[in-house]
Amino acid sequence: MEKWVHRILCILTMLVFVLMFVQEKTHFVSIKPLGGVVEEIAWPNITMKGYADRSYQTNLEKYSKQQFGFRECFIRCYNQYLWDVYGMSSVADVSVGKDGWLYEPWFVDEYYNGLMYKDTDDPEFYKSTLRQEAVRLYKLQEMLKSLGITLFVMIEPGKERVYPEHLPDRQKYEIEGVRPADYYPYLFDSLGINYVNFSKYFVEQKGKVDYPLFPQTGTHWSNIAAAHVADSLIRYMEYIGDTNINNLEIGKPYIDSTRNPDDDLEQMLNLIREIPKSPNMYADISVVNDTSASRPKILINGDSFAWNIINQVYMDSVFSKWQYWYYNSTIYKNPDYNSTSEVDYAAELLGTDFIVLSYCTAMIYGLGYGFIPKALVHLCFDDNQIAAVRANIIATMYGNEEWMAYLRNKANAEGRELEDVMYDDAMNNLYTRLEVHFPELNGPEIPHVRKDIGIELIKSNIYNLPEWICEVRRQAEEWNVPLDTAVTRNAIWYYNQQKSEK
Amino acid sequence: MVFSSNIFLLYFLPAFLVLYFVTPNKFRNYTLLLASLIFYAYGAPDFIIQLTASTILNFFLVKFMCKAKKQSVRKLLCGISIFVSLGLLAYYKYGNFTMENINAIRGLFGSEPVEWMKILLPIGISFFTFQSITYTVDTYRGINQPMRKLSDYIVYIMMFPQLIAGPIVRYNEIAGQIEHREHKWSECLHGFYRFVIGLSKKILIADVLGRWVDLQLGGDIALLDTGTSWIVIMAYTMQLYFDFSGYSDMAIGLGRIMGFSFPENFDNPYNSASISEFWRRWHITLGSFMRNYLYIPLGGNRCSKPRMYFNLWVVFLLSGLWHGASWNFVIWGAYHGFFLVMERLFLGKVYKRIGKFPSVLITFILVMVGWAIFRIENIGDCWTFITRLFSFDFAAVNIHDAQFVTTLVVALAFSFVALFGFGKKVMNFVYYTEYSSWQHIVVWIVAMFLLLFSIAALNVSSFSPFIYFRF
Repeated sequence: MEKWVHRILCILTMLVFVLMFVQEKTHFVSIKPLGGVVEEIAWPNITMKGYADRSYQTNLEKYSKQQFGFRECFIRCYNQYLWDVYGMSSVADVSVGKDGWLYEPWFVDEYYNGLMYKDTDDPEFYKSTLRQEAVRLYKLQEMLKSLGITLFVMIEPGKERVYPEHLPDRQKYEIEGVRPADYYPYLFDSLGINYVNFSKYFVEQKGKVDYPLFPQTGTHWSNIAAAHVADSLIRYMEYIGDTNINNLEIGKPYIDSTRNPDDDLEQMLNLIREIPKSPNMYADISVVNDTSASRPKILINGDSFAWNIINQVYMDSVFSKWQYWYYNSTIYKNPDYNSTSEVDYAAELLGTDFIVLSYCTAMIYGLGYGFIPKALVHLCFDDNQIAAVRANIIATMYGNEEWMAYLRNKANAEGRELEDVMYDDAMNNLYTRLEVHFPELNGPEIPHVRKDIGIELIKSNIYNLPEWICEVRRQAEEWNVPLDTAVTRNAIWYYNQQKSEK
Repeated sequence: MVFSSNIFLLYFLPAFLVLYFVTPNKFRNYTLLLASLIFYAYGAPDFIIQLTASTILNFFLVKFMCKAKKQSVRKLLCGISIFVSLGLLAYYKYGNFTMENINAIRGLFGSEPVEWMKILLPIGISFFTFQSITYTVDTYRGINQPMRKLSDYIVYIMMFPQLIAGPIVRYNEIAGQIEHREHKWSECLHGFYRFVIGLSKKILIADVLGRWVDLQLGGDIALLDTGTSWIVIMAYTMQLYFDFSGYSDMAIGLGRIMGFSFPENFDNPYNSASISEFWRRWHITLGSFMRNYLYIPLGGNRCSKPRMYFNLWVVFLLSGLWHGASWNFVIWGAYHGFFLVMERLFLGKVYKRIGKFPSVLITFILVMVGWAIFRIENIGDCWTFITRLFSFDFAAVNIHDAQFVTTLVVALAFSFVALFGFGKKVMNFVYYTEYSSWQHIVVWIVAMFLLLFSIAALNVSSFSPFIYFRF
């Protein structure tokens, strides 16, 4: 009997491993996939080099961590144990707050003044960096204004500002620091930059509205709060652009358990049981069709908060054209481009009526994420001028051994051609130090839009103004030239006149 | 390959065990040999050839030594064998350290540093060297006959369960088992339980404590208050014990599954009432090696008192240096040597007078301070940390990591439970009792739960390096 018990237990032990292996290879038990996004590790190919430097072994272990049988169950069980016993999460990107509230860690850092420390320890230096970006933004705003385009900033609220009472103590620290979400509004006010501060507004509205402003286990504002933001945003655009746009009508809040529950952070925790929380509320949204209203073109450059607006509001009914530049990188809703690396900046900016830089409290430190200097450069200088500056920077690189060593290392590490890395680094240098490379952008003056754009704009104005085109038509007859030639001559003269006056 | 990795736990080990038990008894050593070569080749591809070559060379050196009729030839061959083993250790483990110090001295005299290629430390070389030496010396002393088969010798030296982090198995302890051992189902189960205990100690305790310790010591040490500093060093004390003893448990368990009986490496070391006792309970196989192959040949206790104290110091300095090629390990060895001498001079009498529990507490504190020297490689940082321990700057200690706190409490409880009769009984039951069928079923369920739980923890957290991996 004893021997049989021993044998059975030994065989059962092996069977556990066999079952895990069979599950890995066949997935004979269907298991709900894990929430969150992970980088898929491919089966590593064995090479002598990879084997000798142990990268093969490392990758094989990583691969096995993603593939082993019943992985989902193991991870969910352990996470549930961490949650139930310690109120903790194993996920680095989720901070567990009090009373079952979840936050993204950088929002908690934002609240405790710690965000600036990823860049510098020096608050004064940090302030000067933010100021430089704000000054650039002001110049861009004014330049665009002269072209009939309205630019403004929308500060989205962060959950940490609206619900600080649930923030986790474990991330709490007392530290002197500059909060970009506080310092930027100060700069915007002092420089005269258009902005709307929903962070402040949300804090004021907390407890006054009959719906949750943020979900307990999600990152972004609630759907219903986002709908109200969209409505306010349209009204702000009407005010600032002096125009009439179709407004939204938002119905009464109601509970709907069938819709997206707004619990992205909870999904990442991968627990077995749901966290108890109050239900999410929604509202029906419709567009009030006003025949006298215009449907402007809008370019949103923003973070993920904007999705809750875009996904709910009937954007096509409000705007004749809209596109979304996600962190100034991926482009959505533009038939011609998928990425800002391919885009013709000047053409895209000139083809719009409103540009919104929309970032939340924890992300506003990177305001525009490179959009502002790029827009300035491409509106003020043509491709030949930019290429000349780039060539200068690359020549400087060749003369700087330290820089070249850095670039060679980077090229090796990323497995890229050295020339490609040099090109990218030169462009990065050009944008980050644009006042050095383009002295025209240095100083308090609003820079001139580049000549071809300026002339095209004046030509369009000439054609659109009946009195002006009449006059030019008379000149064309007098000079005996085609009308367009006369329009162009007038536009060039007017552009030069404007430039000399400034 | 470490034991607490998916590749080992989920693929290598099950595949090996199936192959091992499918193989007829007389060929099982070949299966073990093949698995050990694969195991080592996987983790240390650039060293497998040197390791195998030096093992083969040593086998034949010892064979010729035993056949030699003249004592002088035997002595010479024994010396060459030890020189080859220690030479490899010196080159791979202490080459960088030696060159760094030579260059530091040259720098003092304004000379240019000597250029040299950094040498990578092969895993397990310290254990490999010591086992080779025990084989040579035990055979030289006539305690055992040399192995008849080269394959058996390679199995002894390179057997994967204990090659990476011990225990150091002396040749005379295992010689018979390599050629003939019994395989029993109940032993397999006990081996499995022991392996799971080790794995759980490593993953569920040591790694959890280690993450917190690394976080604290990764910041500015000078900012730590006294309370936090003591918690850090206490946590590290526990981390080191559960990590290293966990690995030893896994090795002993794996050995037991294969029918081997490896020596115990730990015996509740933090229950020691003196540093001398600590070294009889901590890394027992290293202590035993040092005593038999260094301390006794130096003269041991059978000499004048000053000479005995000198011998002790030499043994502990070298023991410190064995743990790592860095000055902090030398200081750590000297620190322990100092207290051993003090205990022989007067401290031992003080301990006897104050009783067991106060002595255990004092010894534990001394050991903890020693671990600070062991852990913090930079001498300046180490000194700063020790001054923080005794600065009596008691700010409010804020530890928000509930898992860490619970784990530390559990670790402390497990470490000191054997001080009491009840705890000793439980430990004897777990480790040394033959179970009835029902007990087996219950323990198997618990072990399986712990195994699966450890696999879950291992895969949720990516932090799992062994502290003793490179010793």
